[in-house]
Amino acid sequence: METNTATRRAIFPTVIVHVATFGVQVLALPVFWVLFLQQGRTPSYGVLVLALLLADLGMAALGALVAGLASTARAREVLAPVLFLPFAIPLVIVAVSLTTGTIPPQTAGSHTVTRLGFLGLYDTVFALLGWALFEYVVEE
Amino acid sequence: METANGARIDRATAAALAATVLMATALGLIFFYVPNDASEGYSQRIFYLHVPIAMTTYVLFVWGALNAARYLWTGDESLDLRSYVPMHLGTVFGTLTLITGSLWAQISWGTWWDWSSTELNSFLIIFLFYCAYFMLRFSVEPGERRARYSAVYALLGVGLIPVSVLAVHLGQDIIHPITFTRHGANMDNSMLLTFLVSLAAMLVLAYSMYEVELRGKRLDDRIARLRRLAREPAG
Repeated sequence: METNTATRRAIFPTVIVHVATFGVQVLALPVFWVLFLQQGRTPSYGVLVLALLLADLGMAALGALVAGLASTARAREVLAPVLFLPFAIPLVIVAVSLTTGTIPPQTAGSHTVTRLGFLGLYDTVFALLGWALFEYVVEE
Repeated sequence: METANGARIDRATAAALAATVLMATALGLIFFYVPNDASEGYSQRIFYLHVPIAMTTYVLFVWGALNAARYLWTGDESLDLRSYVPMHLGTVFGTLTLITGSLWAQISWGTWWDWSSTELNSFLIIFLFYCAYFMLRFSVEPGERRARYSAVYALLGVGLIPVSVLAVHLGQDIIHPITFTRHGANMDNSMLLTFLVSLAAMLVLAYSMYEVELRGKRLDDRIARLRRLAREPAG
């Protein structure tokens, strides 16, 4: 019973973050394509999808942990984004420079691999930290 | 109890004395001993304050995170304060870093803040992290859970330092080589001496502030506990 509640509390924020980021992308990407990417300007889809997946994974891993931390606080709706912001900045900086590099007039160049590597590193670091620290967040 | 207390008072006093002597020496060296910088002139002397303060900020941050890890492993309650106090002092030193850095930037670059500078941006991210730590700590009820949550968040910061430095470098269009010693290579011996004395002064100052604040916080705790005890028979 105890583990059941703990598990449910652990899964809940992860699902929210996943659905939110995925939902926003499903809506935003076609709109972005219609507005900016016609006239034969096709982005390199492989890199784009990989970048989005890696960035989502990082956000979900960290978002779940941070949401867990904020869950018992006063004004948790305000607190969660505040806790998340410093961690989101590095991820967003690299994800943005990576995805802009996939659109034709830009030259992605050799930075693409380094930046994808960074996103992979970010995911690994925070997934490991999250895995190690989550028991202290949901423990009752 | 008495001897332990006495030893602690001695340590704080000794650290404060050492900090006073070192700081006076450092200021003397900065203003009267070290020669003017060839390209930036007199105003470059703020370097001997700004960089040691920034380095102390990082040291305090890592120190707080180490004690946070020890708290999670051992569950020793005293480690919660030992983790909180360096984080608090780190915020103070971080604010000083931003102020001295802005002054230096205004004088040598002609602007208070430069968004294309990697050092500035990665430091700002880490400073925001410090601020968020306080938001978390003071919106959870005091007790074991607050100690646990603060420790978890402090430990997450260990991952953030290298990540933010890397990200800010990777976000630029031209990837610069990461230069840890911007001034190190062409630093004169007298400049190096001044820098090292100033760094030692800042670190000892931070340590003495740590000892003093820790004592204050422990007294706070003890008074709160006594108040609770005094209230109990009446209620």
